[in-house]
Amino acid sequence: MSELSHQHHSPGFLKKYIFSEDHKIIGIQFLFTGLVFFAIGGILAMMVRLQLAWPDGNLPYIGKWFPQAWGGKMSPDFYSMLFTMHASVMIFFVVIPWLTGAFGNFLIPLMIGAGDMAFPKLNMLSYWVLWPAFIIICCSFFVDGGAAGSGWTAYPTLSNTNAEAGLDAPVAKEGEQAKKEPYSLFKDDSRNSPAASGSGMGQILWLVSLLFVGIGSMMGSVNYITTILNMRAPGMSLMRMPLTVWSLFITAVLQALALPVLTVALILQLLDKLIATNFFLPPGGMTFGNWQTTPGGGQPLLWQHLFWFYSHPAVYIMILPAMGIVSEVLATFSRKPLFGYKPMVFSMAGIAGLGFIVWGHHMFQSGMDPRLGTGFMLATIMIALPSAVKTFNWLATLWGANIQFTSAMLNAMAFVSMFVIGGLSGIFMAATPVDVYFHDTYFIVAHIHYVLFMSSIFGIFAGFIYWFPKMFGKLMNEPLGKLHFLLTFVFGNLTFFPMHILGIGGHPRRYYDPTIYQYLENLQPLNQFMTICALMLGLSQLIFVFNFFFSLAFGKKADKNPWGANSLEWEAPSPPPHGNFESIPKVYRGPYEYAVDGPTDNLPQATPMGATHS
Amino acid sequence: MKIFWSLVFAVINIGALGIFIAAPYMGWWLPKNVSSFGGDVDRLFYIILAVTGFFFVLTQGILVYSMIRFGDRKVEKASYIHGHLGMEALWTAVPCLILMYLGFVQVPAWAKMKYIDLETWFPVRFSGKNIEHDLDMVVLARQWEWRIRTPQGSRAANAAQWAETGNLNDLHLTNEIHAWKDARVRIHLKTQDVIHSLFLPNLRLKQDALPGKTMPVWFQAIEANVKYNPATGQLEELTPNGAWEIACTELCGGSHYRMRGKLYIHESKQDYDRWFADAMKLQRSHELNKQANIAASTGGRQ
Repeated sequence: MSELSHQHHSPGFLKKYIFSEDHKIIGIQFLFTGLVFFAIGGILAMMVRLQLAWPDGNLPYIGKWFPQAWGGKMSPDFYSMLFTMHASVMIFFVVIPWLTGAFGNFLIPLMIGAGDMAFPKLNMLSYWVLWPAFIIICCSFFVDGGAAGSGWTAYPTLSNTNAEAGLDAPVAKEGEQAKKEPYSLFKDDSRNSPAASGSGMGQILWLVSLLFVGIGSMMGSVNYITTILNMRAPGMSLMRMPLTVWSLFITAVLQALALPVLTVALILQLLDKLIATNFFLPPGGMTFGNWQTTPGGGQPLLWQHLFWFYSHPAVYIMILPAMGIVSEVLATFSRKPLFGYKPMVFSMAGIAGLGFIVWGHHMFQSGMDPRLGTGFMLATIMIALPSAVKTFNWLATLWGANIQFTSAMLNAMAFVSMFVIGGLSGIFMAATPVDVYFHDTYFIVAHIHYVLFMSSIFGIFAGFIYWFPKMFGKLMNEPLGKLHFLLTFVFGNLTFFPMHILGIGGHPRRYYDPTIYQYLENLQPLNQFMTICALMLGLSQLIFVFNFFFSLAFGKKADKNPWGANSLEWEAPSPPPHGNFESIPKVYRGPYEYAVDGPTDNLPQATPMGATHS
Repeated sequence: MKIFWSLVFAVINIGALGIFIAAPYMGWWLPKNVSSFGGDVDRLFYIILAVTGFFFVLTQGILVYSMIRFGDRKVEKASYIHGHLGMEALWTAVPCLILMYLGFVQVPAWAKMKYIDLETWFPVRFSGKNIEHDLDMVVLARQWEWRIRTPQGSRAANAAQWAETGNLNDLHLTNEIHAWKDARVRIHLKTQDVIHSLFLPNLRLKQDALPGKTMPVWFQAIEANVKYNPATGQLEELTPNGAWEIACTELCGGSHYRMRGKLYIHESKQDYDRWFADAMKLQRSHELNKQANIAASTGGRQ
């Protein structure tokens, strides 16, 4: 590929920054769109919190946003839409695009010493195929009935019951046959759902949008796997790859194997909704008020199996790259070799492998055979083992280190600290009898936010700060970075930690108004406290956004290797030109040679200086 | 700076620990357990809490200690070490054993709660001993309420058949589950529209209702909360403010949160029977209501 990197042509603006085939630009495109959706998802989350803290409504100012018909407050259906779209946006449009899209694209060729991805055109397409998804998901907020409101898990039959045409017609009198018009795809009311207002057109758009996201991710995966396997620089053996590359490789394999299942499930549900195929509707039909559906022939539980067969590996897709990033940052700012490189690789592979046989732990109470539950429980609990191995190796990396308290390092250490909490709280729900109580309470909400927000997002922040100089040739502002970290760490914990307590109190998730329950009365002050902290947490992110753009414009200029790190991306100029390296580097050793003798305490992978540390 | 950041991490983690210690005293804890298997659930919860609590303190302690001890050191280099096989073996083997223990210790309680032999309709653990149940009940979920149906004489002759078709002498209630102390109750859990989940926090009981299926659920309450007063026709609470509630824990549409019900455990079978007889009389006097209720609670498929 070295010929490619030497083609110094200067493409026009459109080709260079918009329809670019350069992996770095594509990565940065993912970064920016992710940032936009991070804001959207965050606003949705804060509105969810507002409702939970003051379910009676009558909020100052905010009440005026809502239609008069709702009485100056949110409607329950609107609330369902909020949490559904918050989760969908954060998972499919923020965390996955950031981790695999932004970091995957930007880092893989640079870190393995390649000029670009194996398939640059496909790479460009993997980003642009997301644009239909972006547009569709944004439009879905404005369709009749609102955006999807059946949870990000979209369980049938809430999500896929499609009203036949004529549902809105007056109900037939007793003894009289209800008047049925032939089913029509193009009639408006054929998209209404009798189950929930957000399960009509909004749900259809949600399904279509996610299909595009899936296609984009699949293109990315194929590209990452091929690039990593075929385009490593000379000397870059698999066991010399930085852990970030390992984590992205394992993630790509996970995605390639799991995504087809989600795609199939989405298509099946789409068919259910559009042409009434009944894949997920029960044989006996259902009754909504006075209206009875036609008998189905399917099985609601089938969706859950298909959905979680993807979505459980998906949570590893959303954490593994962050683990890789954190390993990188921890080693660099510990100025010490990463402890246990091989155990780290094997434990990531272990998490990924086990990740395929644990999806049933989302379904312990679903009506799945409880004996299967026992098997899923044992597999799930064993996933804590590779996670524990990783944690201990990170801690051992810090032991005897010379820790530099940079903002990237603080975020990385916060990842370790928070991942411990998120990992440990998972054991409660893995244990079947305990899960009977904790299933679908705030305990699981606490757990997912400790893993996906407090862990993944801290990993992402660490990565952004760490590679910002490589991306843009400038350093992010350190004091602002530290202030942002401090506020995020404090308010994040104050927001999410009390959720464990709500869960122990038995507070169910997805409740519009928990105060009507006597047993939850005591917990309401906690809800209000968490909401205030959540608002502060949201505001704190503005510091990050400001820092990001401020540093982009006025940041200190960064040289090639501002952190004294070892991996190959630091051999390229900051920012690297098209083709990345002046000449493809040669790799002599692993990426974590810190604390070595010599002029500096690090020995980069591409420095040909003896073989004292292999 | 290192002292400041170490303190930030330490304070957050100590705070996290503190809220767990304070929560029971603030009334932010598990609701009172009143079921026969709930004690097992709580015990397992505390076992996991102890183990995870230990590892929480251990790992966060090492992290904060490392930040203080190894932060901004005035040394030329950190120590050059790539790994240690012995340590790896240690922190693989020890958690492995603990996790295996945590896994297997769950199995009996789970079996007791959920392994239901569909022939005898009782947990397989008890089958063979042929323990009889005391009370049949159909709980039919719909948007957005629980419809409860119990047979005359507490037990249905052919329960599977009865659960589907019902009987003219059934008592129909909405959002109220009645049983008596120590009664072994079997619930035929159904739904007529979307997935719902029957959650009784005090019984440590939760089960999704699946469209098109009848899910077996059982419980045995070991404590009573009401006594029927035939003179007034009212239920009297034995412990004031001791309402035991029913909630739905599977998103079932906009008013998901409104599927609130109440659990009434009578102090004896006699008390339950007295209440049942009066409730039945009341129902008979509303003949029209009854017709409508049967139609609805069998999902219109009689």
